[in-house]
Amino acid sequence: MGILIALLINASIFSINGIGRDLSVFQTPFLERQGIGQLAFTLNPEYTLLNEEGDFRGLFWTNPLKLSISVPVISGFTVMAGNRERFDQSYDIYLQDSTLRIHGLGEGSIEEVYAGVNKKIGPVDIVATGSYLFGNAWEIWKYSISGYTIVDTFLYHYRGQMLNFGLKHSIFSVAYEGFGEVRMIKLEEDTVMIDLPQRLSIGVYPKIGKWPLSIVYEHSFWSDTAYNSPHRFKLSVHRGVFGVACYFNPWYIKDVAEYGLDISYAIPLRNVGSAQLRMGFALRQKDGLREFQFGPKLTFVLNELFVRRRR
Amino acid sequence: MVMINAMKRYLILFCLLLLACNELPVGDDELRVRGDFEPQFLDLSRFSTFTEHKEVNVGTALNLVFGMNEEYEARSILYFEFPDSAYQGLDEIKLVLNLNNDFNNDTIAFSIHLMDIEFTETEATWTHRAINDLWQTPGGDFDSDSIRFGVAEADSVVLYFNYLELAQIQAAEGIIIIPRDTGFCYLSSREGGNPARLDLKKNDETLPLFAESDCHIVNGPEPGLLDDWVGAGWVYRDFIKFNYDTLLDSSMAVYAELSFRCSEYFASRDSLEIGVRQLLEPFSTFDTPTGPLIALERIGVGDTLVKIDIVKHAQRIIEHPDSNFGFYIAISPQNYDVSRVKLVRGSHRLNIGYVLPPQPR
Repeated sequence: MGILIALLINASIFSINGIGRDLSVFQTPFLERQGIGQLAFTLNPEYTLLNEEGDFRGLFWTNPLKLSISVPVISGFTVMAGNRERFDQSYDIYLQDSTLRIHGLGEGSIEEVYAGVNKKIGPVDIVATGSYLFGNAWEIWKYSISGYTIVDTFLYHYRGQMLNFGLKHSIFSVAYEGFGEVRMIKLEEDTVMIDLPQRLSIGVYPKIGKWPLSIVYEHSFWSDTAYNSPHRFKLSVHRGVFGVACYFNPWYIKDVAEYGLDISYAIPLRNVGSAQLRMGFALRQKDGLREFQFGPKLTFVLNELFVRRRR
Repeated sequence: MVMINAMKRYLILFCLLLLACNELPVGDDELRVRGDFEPQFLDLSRFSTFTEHKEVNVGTALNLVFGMNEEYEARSILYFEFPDSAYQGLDEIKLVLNLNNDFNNDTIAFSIHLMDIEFTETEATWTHRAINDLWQTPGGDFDSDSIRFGVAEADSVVLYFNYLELAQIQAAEGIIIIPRDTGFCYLSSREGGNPARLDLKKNDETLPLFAESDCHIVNGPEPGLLDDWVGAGWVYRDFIKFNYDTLLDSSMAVYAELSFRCSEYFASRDSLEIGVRQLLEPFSTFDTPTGPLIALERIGVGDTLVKIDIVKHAQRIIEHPDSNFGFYIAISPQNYDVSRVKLVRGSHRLNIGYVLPPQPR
């Protein structure tokens, strides 16, 4: 049982830095489909393999269930709400030198619940959402010297908020995220206010022959100079029920770069909605340390839940 | 064949599972982002060591002790409550004392005497029958003529009495067991779950009367001015203080190994437990207030070197250097037996291993 728990509480090694792994990369506030009610559940377990100089170590991680709902209330006007994990702070790292052994174990995250509206004006969707950020995290550091062991614990509580705005046309989109800050309350210490980065996402959606493309550029602006303000790119193509995407995601944490490939397959569920299976592969690296991530992602979308069906 | 196919099918999963189970320091540089974790080691200099002693009540002990040697004497006192004032037609009256064989009991002769004056189980000591009342004679006030002699050996001791003696026991304030030989014997007490009892047998029916209260009282030697002792029964505490070193400022102690050498043991068991408590204020008396037990270490009787991790003390003095009042070591629990260990003076050493703590996020 202990091993099982250990397998379920690990995530990216780089989450130890900053305020953790940013899970909102390439997320925009736009609805997948306009004009219908939708309820979507997403499960996203991950398996991560660490590699450094011939040593390998595997880590399992299960992201929390993600839920989103959108309901058209009047013509062209849709309200939406949902939750997702924003920054993941889980890690599991060992350090060993001649006399000292340290085991650092972190768990927890900054979660987000959001609500917003989408208004369709002609060919353009205009979106505004507000997010409330909250969460708890703990870190346990276990030190061992000469057969003696001691444990030190850090506890963190988070509260914050964030705003999102977006404008989307069939061939382009612009989204802005800003006014974000989160209060980090440390046990027995002062509260620290963290300015979250502003983020600009620009997407273009050309169609080359029968291949609809999606090209997204994203830039995060961190005011804290301890972090990078990275430029990110993502290219996606869809054909029928298949989709492929590749991306380059330099982290806000210095020297960490991530390259990813997603392959997706959507299964239409007649009169209900769809199920989308996505397999994600990513390589993160920093100097000689490589982290391979394999993540199956399963999304169930239920359409028209709020419409009385005709017999 | 089916098994092999199943193994092939799950081979990848099995390999991933194996990789997940290891604890290799892959990516340990990421931990170092949060701090410099070079371990440091430091010996604190000794400020003082000295021993204080006191007779304490041991009425709630799990054992009753009687015995003596050239330094100690212990006596056990029992009191029985009789529901009837008179018993007639009894076929047999016997006192059963159950020996605790967790101890290396000696075979010793003893005598039983009637107590002249009542005692309070939870307050009686060698000099006091209650907190505010002294015995007329230290060691208990009892009739000098014994009502029975016996020899303690094997698992239990059984002594038979007649009507007259039973009447005397009923009329007395208890009975006391006085050792007559050198050596020590341990009985189970009421608190130990197997108390002494009087069996009153009549027509093949036995009425057991268990001791209503029991305790033992101990007399022990006074340590020399330069002696470092720890002891139970007659309690010796060794008070120790080490000087704080500012090198420890803002650090995190991983261990604090207190070590000392032992030269002489007096004990009836094969091992003892040494406990450590911190002083909450500067030493004033034996009863200077202390915190809870911060360390407990079992040592073998005969061990010459003892090591105890008192990292909680190190953490406290790092956090509150002004509260470094020292600590004491003692045999724990202090009422379990009659025992003593002589420590080699000047052998106390406190070695601390520490690191600078990580920065929080």
